Amino acid sequence: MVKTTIYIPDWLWKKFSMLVIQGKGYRKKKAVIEDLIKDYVQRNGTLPSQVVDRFEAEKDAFQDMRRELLSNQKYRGKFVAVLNNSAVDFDADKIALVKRAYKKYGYAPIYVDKVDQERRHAEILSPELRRK
Amino acid sequence: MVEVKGSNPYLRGSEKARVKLDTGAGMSVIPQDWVERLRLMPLGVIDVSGFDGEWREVRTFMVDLAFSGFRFDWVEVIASRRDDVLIGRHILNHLKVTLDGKSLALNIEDP
Repeated sequence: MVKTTIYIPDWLWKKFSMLVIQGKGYRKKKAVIEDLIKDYVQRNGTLPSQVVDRFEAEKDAFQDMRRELLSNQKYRGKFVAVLNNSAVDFDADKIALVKRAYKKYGYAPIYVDKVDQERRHAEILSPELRRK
Repeated sequence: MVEVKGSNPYLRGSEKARVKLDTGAGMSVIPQDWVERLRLMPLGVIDVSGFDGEWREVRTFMVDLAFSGFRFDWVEVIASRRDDVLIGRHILNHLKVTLDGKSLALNIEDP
């Protein structure tokens, strides 16, 4: 076990404390912080850091070129594959595009997104009970 | 109990887990551990909201999924801290699922 110290603004700590007391009860702050750290590590630590870095760079590149792609009839409404900061391929069929991209460039962190005004979203609504 | 087999569509290797059919989920969800074990590459991102209405951006991955004699290749999924696999509507909409709650029976078929 390690012990660490962090400095955060008073207002943030007070608000966090209030929320933990309301949601979990007293003396639960440490457990909540531990859960947050575990969750962060699980979400980010299962991928090698170089994969995450490259993927995030390709994602940022797509965001940078989004407006330009949207203004081009060729890309609008279609899926685009981004690798090395440029759009390397596009298709109306996402699966066909992904298969082609992996075949041509290997199994690399290629970012694929739809050239659309709206962001993609999904709902995973079902709450679950965990009995201890 | 129904089991689902998940595999990387590009590389070898597979994992198994319990399956839950979730008509409230727009997308399927795999255990976070599978990302590392199956060496899945992130492919995209999607904003996901839970029952509390909070939205957050998560990464998506492609997997092959097989359960109850059905096979779905190149399925886009998200990953989360869980031991089972949630099969969402993007897969269920290809099947006919009949729930007989009174008999505690569930029938899945591909008509």
